[in-house]
Parts: sequence; C-alpha cells; structure tokens
Amino acid sequence: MDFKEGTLWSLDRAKGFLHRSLDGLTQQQAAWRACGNCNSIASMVIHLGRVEDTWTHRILGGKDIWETDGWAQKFGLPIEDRGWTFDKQSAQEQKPLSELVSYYEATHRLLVEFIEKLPAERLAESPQNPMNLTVEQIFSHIVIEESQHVGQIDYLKGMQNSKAS
Amino acid sequence: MNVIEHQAWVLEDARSRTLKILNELSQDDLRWRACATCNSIGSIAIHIGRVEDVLSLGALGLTEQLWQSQGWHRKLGLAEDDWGWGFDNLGQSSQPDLRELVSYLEAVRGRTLPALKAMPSNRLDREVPGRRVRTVAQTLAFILNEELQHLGQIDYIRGMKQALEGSNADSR
Repeated sequence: MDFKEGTLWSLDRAKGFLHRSLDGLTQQQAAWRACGNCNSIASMVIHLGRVEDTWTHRILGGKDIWETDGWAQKFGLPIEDRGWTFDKQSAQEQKPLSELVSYYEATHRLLVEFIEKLPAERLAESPQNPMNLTVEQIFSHIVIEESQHVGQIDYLKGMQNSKAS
Repeated sequence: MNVIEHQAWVLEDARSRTLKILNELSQDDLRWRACATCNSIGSIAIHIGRVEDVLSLGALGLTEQLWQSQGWHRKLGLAEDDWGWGFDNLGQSSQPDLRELVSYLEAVRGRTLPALKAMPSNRLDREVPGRRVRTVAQTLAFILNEELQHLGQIDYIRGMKQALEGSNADSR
C-alpha cells in the first residue's frame, strides 16, 4: 500500500462510517443541536463537503463546485459558508439531509478521482494554500478533519438515541 | 517522505492534538457525561490508548499489551480486558487522574513510534492475523482513524460542556 492507496483507504473508511452513522436519521435528528451553539449533524455533513471541495480546488485550481454547480444556491447558503450557517436557517429553509449528503458525495467523487489520477511525483508540490501544506499533507489534513467530524456525528447520533430510549 | 515516515508524521500530529486538548482539561471535564449512557472524555481517552496498545501488537510484531505487562489496568483501576469504557463505571474517588491517563497514552506511543520507524517498508502489505483481515498498513491507518474520530468527540464534548455551563451561568 503506497501513500495514495492509504489515503484512499482512509477516505473510504470515513465515508463508510459516515453513512452508517447517518443511516436511519430523521431530519429532526440531523438538525438537532446538543446546545445553543453546538453544531448539528447536518451542518457537519455540509462542512465535510466544503472541506473536500475547497482543498481539492486549492490543488486543481478553479472554483469550488459549491459555487459552480450551484450547491450554495440550492441550500440557500452564502458562497463563503463552510457549512455552519445551516444551523441559523429556519426548519423551513433547511434542505433535507439526503440533499446535503449529495453535495458531500459529489465532492468525494471529485477528490477520489483526483487522487487516483495524480502522479506520485506531484505529492511533494506546494500549491498556494493558507497552511503552506504540500499536496501529501493536504490529503492527510483532509483525512484528519474528516475523521474527527465523522466521530462527532456518530457521538451525536448515539447521544440522541440514548436520550430517546 | 516515505510511507512509514508519513505514517509516523500523521500519528504524531494526531497525538499532539489529543494531548493539547487533554492537558487543558480539569478532572471534572474528564468525567463529565453528556447523557447517562454517553461516554466521558476520560473513557474515550483511555480507549484511544487501548486501541493502539492492542492493534499495534500484530501490526508491528510486538508481543504484549502494556495494559497488562506494565500493569496499566491496575494503575487506572480498570479490568484487565477493559477497553476504556469501565472508567465511567468507577466511583468519582476511584477514577484515575488526568496525568495517569496521559501517562498511559504516552507509554503506548513511546513503544509504537520507535517500532514503526524501525519497520521495513515491505512489511506494510503483510496481513495481520486477527478478528478482521487487515494488512499492516491498514491496521496503522485504522489506529490513526480511531484516534482522530475519538479526538473529534473529545473536542466536541469539551465545547458542549463549556457551552452548557456558560448558558447555565447566564441564566442564573
């Protein structure tokens, strides 16, 4: 297993874990907040997509599909949003979880295809980015960020199930 | 950076994030539970160490869990086969303090990293015998992903506790 394969394995595992955590969730559970300013599961799903979308385009160049494919508009969220504005929307404004997951799925496909096609020698390149990371470190950063939020989503689901029983 | 160097780098990066948060916590933060059956930060932190302690054996060719061989289960007041969750069943006075818990994480990592760095890269694709078939590389990624997922939870629980305490204070 080389670095790229390891990254793809970790991303696939995070995605599988995410889907298991989201399975059977109602819209109300997805939008539930554990405290006044705690992030909901739904906001984190959007954020996962935003993380993948932004970092992929920092390497690829061009604008995020959040903007070019109209996801921000579909969700009624600002172009500069990182997912967190979802929790400020009213229940009527909030889009169903399945649509939010579609955005994550779209960014995930883009990222996976990009990693698969990327020549190994490009891993050491340093594209312009605010954290001065190499491409290799960017992929690790995505895994780090994604895994943490997936763990949080699972905890929030467990917390709600516990309160309901 | 070769694959092993990179793996060591991300493991150290994740651990520095975990320790940064843990070292900012009080004993009360450690034992706080968001609901009656929710895991506390203390139990999750021990679990991170247990996963690495157990899974690194097959992956890195080690023979004994430090949990048992160095008596960490006794030091932390937990059963020999506990995975961390027993922490929440201990009485407040029996719960180990934060420093002890961090020492366990450091002991495990103090063994994992040198063993990882000394490992020949051709071992990465070898299968690890166990409950699920995984290669050495996948097991190392699993250990990392476990820490990261639980680190996310620790961070969230800490923020939630602070927010709830803040709102309680505001409403007084």
